Amino acid sequence: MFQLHAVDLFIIIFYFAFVLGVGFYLKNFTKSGEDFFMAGRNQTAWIAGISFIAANMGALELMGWSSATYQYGMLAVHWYWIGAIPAILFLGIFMMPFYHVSKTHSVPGYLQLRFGEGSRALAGVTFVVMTVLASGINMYSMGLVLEDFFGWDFDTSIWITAMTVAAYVTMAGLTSAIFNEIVQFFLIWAGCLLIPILGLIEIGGWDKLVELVNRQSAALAPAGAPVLDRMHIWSTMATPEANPMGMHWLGIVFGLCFVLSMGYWTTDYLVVQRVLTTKDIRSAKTAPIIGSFFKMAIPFIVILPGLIGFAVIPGLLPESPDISATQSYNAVLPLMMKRYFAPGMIGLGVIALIAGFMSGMAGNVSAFATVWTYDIYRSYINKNASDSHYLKLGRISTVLGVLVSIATTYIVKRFSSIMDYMQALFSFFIAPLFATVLLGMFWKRTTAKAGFWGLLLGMCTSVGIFFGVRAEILDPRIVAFSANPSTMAINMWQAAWAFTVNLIATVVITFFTRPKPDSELVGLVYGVSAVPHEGPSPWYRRPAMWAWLSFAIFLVLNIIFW
Amino acid sequence: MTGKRARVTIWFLCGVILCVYGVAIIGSGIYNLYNPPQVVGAELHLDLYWGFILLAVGAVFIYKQWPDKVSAE
Repeated sequence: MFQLHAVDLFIIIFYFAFVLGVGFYLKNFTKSGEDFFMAGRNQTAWIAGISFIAANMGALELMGWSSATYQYGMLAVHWYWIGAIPAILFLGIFMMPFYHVSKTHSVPGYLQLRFGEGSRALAGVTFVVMTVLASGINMYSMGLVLEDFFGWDFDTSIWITAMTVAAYVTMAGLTSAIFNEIVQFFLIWAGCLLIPILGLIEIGGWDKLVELVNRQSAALAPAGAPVLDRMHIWSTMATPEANPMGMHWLGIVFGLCFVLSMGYWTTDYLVVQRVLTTKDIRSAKTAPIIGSFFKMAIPFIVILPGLIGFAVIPGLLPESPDISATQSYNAVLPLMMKRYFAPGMIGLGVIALIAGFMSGMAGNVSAFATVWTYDIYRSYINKNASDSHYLKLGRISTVLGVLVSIATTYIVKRFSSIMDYMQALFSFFIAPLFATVLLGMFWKRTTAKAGFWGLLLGMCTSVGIFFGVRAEILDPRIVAFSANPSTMAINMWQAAWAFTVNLIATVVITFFTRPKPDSELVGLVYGVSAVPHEGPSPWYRRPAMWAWLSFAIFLVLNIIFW
Repeated sequence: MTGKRARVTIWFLCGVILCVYGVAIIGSGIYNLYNPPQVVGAELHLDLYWGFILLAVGAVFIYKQWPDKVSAE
């Protein structure tokens, strides 16, 4: 259990007062629906880019990937590099021009313009339900961390944090969420950066870390079994048996990079909404590219602590009812804070975790309010209300979203196994959505009916495989092409199957249905629209130049840790 | 909120919170100098240096994004 001192409490209380103060201040500038739901569409590339990454950087992400690194070694870095950078750059260079020029409020909104109401309703309802549930799971995890490590009461932690998020998002909507996400981004770095630095000093540098990790891996290997390498990211992936994740490189390239990551970063409205708030096409293209540099750097405060933890805190176990929370892999990041942080820094570390939870929750709630108000309420329930009516509804739906999230938290608390199910399902809905948006944006022949039925079949495939594997109707070894696949490997391949089924179904149905005339596709599809360009600029301001630089760094990092 | 509509920018607000936390960490770092905590690396006093870094970064943000200055630009 952590012991908090007066300075730690000051840091924590000041943080809550500060984020509420920011919301209260920004309320004065939130006068219209556009201000509330789209942050006035006047954000700079830097604000949108950092917020884009911060919304994804919840504490589940920080603790989850430190834990995954403890379990699988450096392979976890794939979720930050190949599982993010190509997709983020693709979003910035190829997709943002169309999202931006269509002036859509959301990804379901784009589907309505491209494929009609059916696709929008399917994507919108799925997104709304999943977003609120995700927010509840996020809170549940936070309540557990604060209870297990700091001895705080679960209910009090949940209600104080949730009501703080509800208050600042209700006051100024997405503007407030974005402002606080940026503050939270800085605090996460301020609270976590010293962990790898102190860890490397304690161990004696990188070479010594490699030696210690290899020694621990050898100690963990069963007698007679080969020692699994935890310090390389590609050279151990020729066969699933050669790495701790049980994953073939094809699963990473196709399942993670091409399907899950492309789906998440280019169509999950939680992150795309941040970029849609930019003031012009140049900012819209540059924002994700700026975000890509930060994304590549995050392993320094997530993956490296996981590796150092594996070396200096051996003996952590998979989560199970038989062990306490502080003995499981998930505890590695808080345990590292406890190992290295003096009073004061502990407060900053706690704030880094709480900030992560709050930015994730605020992201979910603000995206929920927008999709609910614009894509469901305004489209199907009350089409002709005034802007002030939608603004008021946005505020009410923010509070309702938070309350439903809290209710979800208690459901998850009572039936903790459903948390695994729901978390896995979120990503599976994203994979087929990506196939639909991809075909809609890049193939003008794709028809409205094909878009809708392809999306529905893709979603059914992901859900069907998920429950089929758990009910032992489907063999996970066939699903994941591996003799001994990890849960992560199965997830990758489920997403890949859902994407593939959607892609094939959409293409086949397209050839049997009538396409829209080109005139109705202008501004929505490559090939019939002039690609919006950011205009002439010196080389150092061109988004493409920065995208190439980001991609070059990404390649170098992969080669270094090959 | 790029400065056209709000009087303070997000960078200014980041500067404020970093300065406040920098001062708090420096204060606790000085206390820890005389009352060393039982943590690994306590003898390095990195918390003290970290407090100064947070304060310096925060001060730069505040200076560069001071509301009157941003409005004038």
